[in-house]
Amino acid sequence: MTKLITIKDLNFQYAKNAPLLSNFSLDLEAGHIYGLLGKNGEGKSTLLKLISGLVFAQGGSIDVMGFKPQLRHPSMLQDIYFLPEDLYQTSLSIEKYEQAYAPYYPHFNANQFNQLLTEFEIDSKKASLSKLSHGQKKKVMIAFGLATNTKLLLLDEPTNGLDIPSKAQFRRMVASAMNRERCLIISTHQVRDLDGLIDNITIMDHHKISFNETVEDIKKKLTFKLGNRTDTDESIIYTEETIQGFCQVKKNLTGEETKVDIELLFNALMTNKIRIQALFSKHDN
Amino acid sequence: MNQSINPNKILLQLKQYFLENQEKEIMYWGIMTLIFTLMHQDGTFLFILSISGLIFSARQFKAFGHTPSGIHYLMIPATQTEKIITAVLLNTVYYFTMSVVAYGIGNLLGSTLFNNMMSTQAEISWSLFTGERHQIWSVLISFVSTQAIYMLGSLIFTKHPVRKTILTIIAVMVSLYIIEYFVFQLVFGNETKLTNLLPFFSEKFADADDSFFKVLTPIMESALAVVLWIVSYFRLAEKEV
Repeated sequence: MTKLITIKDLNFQYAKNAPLLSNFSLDLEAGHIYGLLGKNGEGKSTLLKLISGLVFAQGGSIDVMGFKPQLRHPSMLQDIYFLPEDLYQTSLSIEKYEQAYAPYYPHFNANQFNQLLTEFEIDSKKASLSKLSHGQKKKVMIAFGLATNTKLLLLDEPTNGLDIPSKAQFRRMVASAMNRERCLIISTHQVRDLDGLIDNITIMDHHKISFNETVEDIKKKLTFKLGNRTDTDESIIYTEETIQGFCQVKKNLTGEETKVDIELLFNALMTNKIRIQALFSKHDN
Repeated sequence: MNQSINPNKILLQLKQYFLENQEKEIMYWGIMTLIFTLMHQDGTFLFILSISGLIFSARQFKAFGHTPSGIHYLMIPATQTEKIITAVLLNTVYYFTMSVVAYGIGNLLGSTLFNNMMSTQAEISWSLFTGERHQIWSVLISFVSTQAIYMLGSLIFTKHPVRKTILTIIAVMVSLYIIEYFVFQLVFGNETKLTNLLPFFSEKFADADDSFFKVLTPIMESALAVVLWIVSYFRLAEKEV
């Protein structure tokens, strides 16, 4: 797979003596959908901004498709679509928005945009974006972003404001717009919204990447199952009481693959980071 | 730093501007025409142009006052140079042309109405500026420089750019006056009287015997706008949101 983003020993801070990212390193490849997870204030949105050249690294290096993002080279920008959590306010109609902005993106596909809008149940392109609800506006922007066919798509909390059916539509649409050339990074708190969509889980903790693994590898090394309170099996890494019972994250000793519960994995990592990291650092496991 | 200029990208940004601001532009130039209809006497054009130019240009980079808009603007795939050129075209060429059109219509309407109401047959004056031809060039250069100052102001001050730009201009003028006063006191002694606020822009200074200043004044006047555009370019390049 082609490496699209290489971040090496990156340092960034907004205020003095309050580093947000320190000695931060990460490689991201084409053909993957990365779920970027982390608690509030970990620097997820800032990382997306650093990748798009909206803020500048104070140390280390970032390479995005062969460009230095802080230079904001148009050839780089026309291959990045960044959807921030709060949306740009415009009174343009969807049709005029497309007229104004689509020409900047050489791979923009108008038919795909129309199809995505239809799938999102946005009936009229004549509608003014300022008159749409936040959720509808977000759908338009997501559809536009997918239709730009940029190599890099950065979505910051894309499912915020979407109703339940729209979240399922979102997952379907993102999956359908994915190809081997593209890399999607979705930053979110709402981990359940990414269920079955992402193929790589990247977790930030204490301003560093504490976990970056493919879902395939996670399935091989961990199982997510219901158990009992009294279970004392050594392979249990984390247990969480829920209405259904005791959800457990265990070492996968049998080779049986279970569905990855992202929220459970996140909580397991927050409470038992060393054990999980050790498990994934052993390549023979 | 990528400084290439693609005319298509400039045209795209202009198209984008007019698509986004269609209604606002119609309203703005409607109001301007009305103002010129009411105030169509000689000499008012320049005064109104300066005041309204501030409002227009100081809002050029208003996107930076709202983070999502700032992100949207910076993510537009065009070079910083293309973005600055677009802004300059809008707040100088376009703004001046539209002001002349609004003045023309307002002047015609205002004069016709005045003649009808007062039953007079006064001739319609089409002169935008009063003064000699060489002074008109100087006025145009001043207009471009002033717009460049306002544009830079809108890049520096993300919140309340109009107010802050005016206050900064006043502060800079007062500071320059004070510095100028002390420099003149030191060089020419106590007998020196300062009647002009800024020497480089004053006719009095240009008329001075010293040929060095005679040469320097027009150069300074013309270079100011270019310098400010370059400063704006770097300010935009280093802008973070």
